[in-house]
Amino acid sequence: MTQPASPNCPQCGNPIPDNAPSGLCPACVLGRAATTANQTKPNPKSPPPSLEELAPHFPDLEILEMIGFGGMGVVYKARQPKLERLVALKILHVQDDDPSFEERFHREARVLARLDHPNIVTIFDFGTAGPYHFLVMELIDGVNLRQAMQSGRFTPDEALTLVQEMCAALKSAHEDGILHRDIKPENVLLDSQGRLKIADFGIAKIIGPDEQANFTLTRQDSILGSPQYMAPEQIESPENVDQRADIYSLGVVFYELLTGELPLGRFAAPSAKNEVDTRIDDIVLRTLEKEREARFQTAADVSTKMASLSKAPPLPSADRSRGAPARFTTLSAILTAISLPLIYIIFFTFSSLSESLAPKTPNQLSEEISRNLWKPILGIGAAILSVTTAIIGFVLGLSSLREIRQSEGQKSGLSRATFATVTWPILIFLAIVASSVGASIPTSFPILALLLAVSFGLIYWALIPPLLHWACHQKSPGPRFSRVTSILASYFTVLVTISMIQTTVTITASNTLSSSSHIFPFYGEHSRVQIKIKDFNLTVNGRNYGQVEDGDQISVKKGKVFLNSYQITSPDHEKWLPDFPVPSSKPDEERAIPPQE
Amino acid sequence: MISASKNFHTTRWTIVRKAQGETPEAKSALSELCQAYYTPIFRFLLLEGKSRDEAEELSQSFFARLLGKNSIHHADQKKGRFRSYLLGALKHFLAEDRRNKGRLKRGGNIKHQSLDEPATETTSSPQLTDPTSSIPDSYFDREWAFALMDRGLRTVEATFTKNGKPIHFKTLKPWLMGDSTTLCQASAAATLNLSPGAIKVSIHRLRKDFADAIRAEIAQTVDTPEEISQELNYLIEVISKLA
Repeated sequence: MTQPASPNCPQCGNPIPDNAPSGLCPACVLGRAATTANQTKPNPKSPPPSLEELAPHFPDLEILEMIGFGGMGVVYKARQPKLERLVALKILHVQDDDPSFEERFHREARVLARLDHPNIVTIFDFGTAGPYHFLVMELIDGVNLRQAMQSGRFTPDEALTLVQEMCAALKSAHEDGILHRDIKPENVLLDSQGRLKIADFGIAKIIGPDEQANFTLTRQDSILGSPQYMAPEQIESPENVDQRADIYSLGVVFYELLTGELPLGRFAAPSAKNEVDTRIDDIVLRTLEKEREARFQTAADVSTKMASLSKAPPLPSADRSRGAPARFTTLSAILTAISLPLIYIIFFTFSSLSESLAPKTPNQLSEEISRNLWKPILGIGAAILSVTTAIIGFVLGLSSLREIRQSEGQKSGLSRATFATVTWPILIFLAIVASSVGASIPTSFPILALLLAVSFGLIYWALIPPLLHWACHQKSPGPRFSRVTSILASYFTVLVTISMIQTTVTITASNTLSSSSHIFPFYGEHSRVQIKIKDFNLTVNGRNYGQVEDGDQISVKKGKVFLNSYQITSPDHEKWLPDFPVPSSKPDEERAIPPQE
Repeated sequence: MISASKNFHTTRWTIVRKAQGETPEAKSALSELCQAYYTPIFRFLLLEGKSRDEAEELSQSFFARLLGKNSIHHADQKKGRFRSYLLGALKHFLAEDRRNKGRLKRGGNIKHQSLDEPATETTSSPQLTDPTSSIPDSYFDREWAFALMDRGLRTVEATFTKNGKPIHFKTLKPWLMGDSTTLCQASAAATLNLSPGAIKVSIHRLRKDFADAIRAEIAQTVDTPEEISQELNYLIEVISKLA
C-alpha cells in the first residue's frame, strides 16, 4: 500500500508514506502544527479587552491584533498613522484595589522611557486611557527566546553571543538604576535580524510588589512567568532586591540556553550536559550562586569575564576533529611529503653525473656530457620540484594554520597543516646543526640516523603545545593529533635521514677524492664508495676488494671510510696515478701505492 | 490568512449546512470543498482495490452526483464534519453503484437508499460501513489528513512566494517536522544568508503560518471553532496509528 521503501522521518523515525505532501512526515508536521497554534491563548479568568473595546480609548492608534498575553498585561500590534509606524501597545493588568498604582505607574514609566539601548525595547509613550494603563513600545518583529529555543537549541557560541547582548542591556539599565526584575526567556526577544531585545524592563515593579508576589507564588502556569528564573532573595523579599537578582535570572536563562534545562536542585554543570568549555561553567555557576554576595556583582563583571574567555576560548578536543577541515591542509601535507623524497633524486642524479664526468679526454668528456644530459635535467627538475613543493606546502600549511586559528580551532586538519609547516624548517635547522658538528663526529650511519630521527621528533613534539595554543587555544594535544603526527614524523624522519646520509665518494683518476654530495658534508662517512680507477686493487679499511675497474661501485658496510685507509694498486699506476694523494697522518705502508708487478 | 474564530460563521461547510445546499452560494461552497478534497476520495477508491481508471471514473461520477443534487438532506440535522459527510456519501454511492451493477446482472430485488442517509462520525457509523469494504474508514481519514496538510503547505508556500521568499520556504520546510538533530540550522542559515538567531525567528514564523493555515483549512470543514483542535488531534491520531 503506502509502505514502500520510503525514507524515514528524521524526527520520529517512522517511514514517510510515499504520498505524503512535500515528502514531509505528516504525523510530525501536523503534530507540530497542533502544538504551535494558540500559544497566545488568553487567560480565560480575565479575558483581554477586545479590539473594539480598546479602539475608542486610543484614537491615535489603529489597533490591529492581539499578539501576546502575559502575566504583566496584554500586547497588541498597532499602527500610528501619523508616524506611519507599527508599535506594540501593552495594556497592563492592574489590581483594582491598589491605590498607589497610578502614582507608581507614572513615576516608573517616566524612568523606563529614558532607557535607551539597542538591546532594550524602547518605550515611546505611556499613560492612562479610560480604564486602561498602557505603554506604547517599539514593535519587535520576531520571537521570544522561549519560542526560539523551541525552534532548535542554540549552540554554545550562539548562547554566549546572546548572553553578551543581555549583559550589555542589563549593564546599561543597571547603571541608570533600573532593575528588570523579571528576566526570563519570554521577555527576551529576537527580531527578524536575530538581534536581541529585552522587553518589559521594570514592568514588574510598576505592577507592584503585591502583584509580583502574587504571580510569583500563586500563578505558576507558564503563561504568567515562573519563579524558576528568580533569585532566591527575590522570592523571599521582592521589595529588597538589587541588580544581583537580575544577574541570577540571567544565569538561569544562560543555563537554559546551554543545556535546554532549568538549573533545579543539585543541577549539573553545563559542560556535563553539552559541549561547553569548563570555564563557561564557572561563569554560569557564579551567576547562579544562592547567596548574592557570592555572585557576580554587576552585569559588567559577567561581560568582562566572558570577553576574557572569548579572546582565548579553549575548545573541547572532541570538537576539533569534527569540524570541516581547513582549506589546503591535505594538499599542503601532500606537497611537503612529495618534496622530501625528491632530495633522493637530486643526490642520485648529481652524484652519478659527477662520476660520469670525471676527468677524461676532451673527446670522451663531450661524449659523456651528451650521454648524461638527462641527469642534470632530471636533477634540476627534481630540485625545482622539491623546492617548489616544499615552499608551496609550507605556505599552504601556514595558511591552513591561520584558518584553523581564525576558526578558533573549530576546523580540523591541524596535524596535516603542522606537518606541512614545520617539517622543512626543522630539517633545515637540523642540517645546519649537523653540518656544523657532523664532520667531527665519527658516527656510524644507524646511530646518526637514529640521532637525527630523535632530534626531529623531539623538536616536532616540542613545537606542538605552542602551535596548538596558537592555533586553537588548546592546552594539550588531542589523541588524534598525536597519532597522525607520530606516524608522519617518524616516517619522514627516517626517509630524510637516509637521504642525508647516503653520500657517494668518488675516487677519480685525477687524484681528486671527492664526495659527490656537498649539501650535507659528511666527508669521510660513507655508505658507498665508488671506484673510478681502472685495474687497481682496492683495499678499504683493511678489506681488499680485489681488482676494480673504473666505474665500479663497492658497498662499504657501516662505519666510516677514511680516505686515508685505502690501498690501490695498479699495473700502470704511474700512468694513471702519477702522484696519488697520500694522507700524511697514515703509516707509510698504507699510503704506499706500489705497482702490482 | 483567515482567522479561524473570527470568520467562522462564513466557512464553507456552515454555509452548505445552513442552506442545506439549496442556495447558489451553498452550491458553490460545496463545489469548492469537493474540489479541495477530491484526492482523498480518489485515493480511498484506489485503496479499496479499484483500478486507476475505475477510481477516477467513480470519483467523477460521485462528485457529479453529489453536486448535481438539489439539496443536502440531513446535513443539518446532526452535528457533523464535512469529512464524515463526504465519506458517508461516498459509501452510499458505492453501495448503490454495486447494487445497480448487481441488479443489472441479476435484475431487481433492491430497495432504494438515499445518498444522503444520516452520516455522523465516520468512525462510529456502523450502519454505513460497507460489509464488502476491505478498508477501514481510518484510511480515508488518513488520506484526508494528507490532503489537508498539502493544502496548508500550499497556502504557506504561496504566502512565502508572494513575499519574495520561495527559497526560505523550500529551505526551512523540513523544520515543520520538528527540531531533529539531522537538520542543520547552520547550513540553512548559510543558504539563506541569515544569522542563527534570524533563522530561528524564520522557522518559528513558518511554523506559526502553517499552523494557522491548517486551522483555517480545518475550519472550513467543521461546525464550531472548538472542533478545530478536536479534528486536528483526531487526524494526527489516525496518521500515527496507521504509520
